[in-house]
Amino acid sequence: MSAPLVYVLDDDAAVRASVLNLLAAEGLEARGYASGAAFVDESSHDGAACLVCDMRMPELDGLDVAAILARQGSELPIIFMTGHGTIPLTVQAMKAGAVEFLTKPVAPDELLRAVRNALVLDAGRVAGRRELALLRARHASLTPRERETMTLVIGGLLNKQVADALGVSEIMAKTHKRKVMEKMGARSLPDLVRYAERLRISQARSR
Amino acid sequence: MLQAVTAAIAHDLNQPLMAISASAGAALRRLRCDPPELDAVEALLHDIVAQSQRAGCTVAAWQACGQQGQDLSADALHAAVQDVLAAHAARPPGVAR
Repeated sequence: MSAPLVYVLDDDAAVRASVLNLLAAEGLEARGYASGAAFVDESSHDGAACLVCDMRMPELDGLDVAAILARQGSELPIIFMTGHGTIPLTVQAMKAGAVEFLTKPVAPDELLRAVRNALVLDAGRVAGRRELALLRARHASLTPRERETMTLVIGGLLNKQVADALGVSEIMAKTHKRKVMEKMGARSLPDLVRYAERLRISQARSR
Repeated sequence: MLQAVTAAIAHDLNQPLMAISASAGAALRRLRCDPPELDAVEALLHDIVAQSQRAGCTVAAWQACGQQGQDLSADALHAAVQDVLAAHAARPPGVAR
């Protein structure tokens, strides 16, 4: 897993450079961007990340950038910084998905605390996304028959009932069930039910 | 109008203050290293000097506007500040070290 990364987006060169220097001094990897367009075009990271973003910028402002990220389905945590925070602006920022809204000049410890919290939050999301991708790949490896068996088994049906629903012998139903458990990496039925929930697979019918 | 003027002043002054705050935070951390990273600290202190000058120029530009009894709209003030800053060419700090 790659090291956590902090994106710094501010059109003011002095602010951008100083924040990058602060993050570097704290041992954090960071990349600076002068405009929302440059950030949206270039940023991509497979590990945990967060964005420290100025609110007031020419062309794309902070809220525009947040809207673009939301449209892309990104869950990147955003820490907004503003030179003159008003209550309506704070409300807008929070609605746009900001995890923090800080007023310049932000104290160094305050900024680093916000960044660390955002990276922890994103690390959790990254782990969740990885697990989901793994489950999807496992589910894709099931045969159509095994997939059908899975929807029956997660409803808590007995082997006999599964066999009847599939129109096969009870021994054959057991074999399908064992293959499903193996391929999905499920050690128990509750495990399999939990995976199905994550994959949004609903039970065919319940007992 | 006063609200727009104070917002413009807040913005123009908070930018260099933010840079000063972050540079000082970085310098403190470089100092606490063992051994202290003095070259980095020196560069960061230069950045702080430059940004202090930038803030001073901003204040001077407003004062000049006020004394000459000029247009006191937020846009005019902001433009005057940008002119002074451009003339002074406040040195931006170097890239991240």
